[in-house]
Amino acid sequence: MIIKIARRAAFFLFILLHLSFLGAIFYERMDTLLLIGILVLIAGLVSIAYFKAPREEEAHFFEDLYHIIFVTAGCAATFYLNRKLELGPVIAAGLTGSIASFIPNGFRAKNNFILEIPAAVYCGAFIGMTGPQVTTDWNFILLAGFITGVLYIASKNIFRGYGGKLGSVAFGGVAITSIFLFLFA
Amino acid sequence: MIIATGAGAAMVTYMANHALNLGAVRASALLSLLTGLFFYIFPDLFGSYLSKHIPLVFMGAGFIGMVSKKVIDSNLLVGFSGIVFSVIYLNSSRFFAGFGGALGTAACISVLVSVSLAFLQEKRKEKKSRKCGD
Repeated sequence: MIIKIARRAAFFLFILLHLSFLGAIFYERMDTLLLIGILVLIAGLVSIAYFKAPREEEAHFFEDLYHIIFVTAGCAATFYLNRKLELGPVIAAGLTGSIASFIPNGFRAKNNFILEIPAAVYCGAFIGMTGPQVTTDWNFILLAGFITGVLYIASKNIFRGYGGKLGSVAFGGVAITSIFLFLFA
Repeated sequence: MIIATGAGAAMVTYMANHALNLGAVRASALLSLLTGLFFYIFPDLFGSYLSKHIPLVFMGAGFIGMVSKKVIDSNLLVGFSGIVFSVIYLNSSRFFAGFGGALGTAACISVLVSVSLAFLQEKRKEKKSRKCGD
């Protein structure tokens, strides 16, 4: 039951995020008719894809809570490399993801716990790419890491194997953190 | 140049992911790291605008190349997604500027567009074959 609710909530959050992303472009570029046409076409095609996307039921939830730690670690490492060492977002996230991708080789492990580390860390790395116009605050980044970790677990059963899914999850985490801090801080 | 980078990055990452068996995370992260380092070492090679945006477009479009073969089985469709990504990137909203994960969101939208096109093409083929059967 919890899995089903989490999956549905994540699915509708994905739709909301994607349509908000496209809607923001639409709002800012209302004077460019060609672009508006392209955006409407993209939104239509994306809507078709949502309902064709396979949804899987994999029993998980509390046993996957450790993902939150890896997502937060990925985001903290990238944020440090990006801001403190001033390597820039691409090198910082690339370096974090590359190192994470070799972790399973280092352990020579075949269990899911180790094999799933790179994706979780790389997902967190995208939060660490957040620019100074959004935040310079470590508390924001760590909270975004935690929220993204929760979304990462909730969205495990949807859009499996879809490129950009991890980024969408991270974007959701950063957006929710921004709204949360805007309302309560 | 940005659009060519988007298409190229998506296809190269897809090939590194599947043909070279690097896996999705390593293919995307390693290629992005190399591109980032190249522009970090040679910041003035292509002018300031391209030097700033090419690494970001490469990384963002690279996320498309992380797609599984079960979802998109054509290198051309992956390249097309890269073009869609570049169009979104070039027009992306100032409202979400600097948001972590924005590149991935644009990449995911681009992948969904290609998935949808592949589905519509398949349906069209089915209809045609049914008509031929009649």
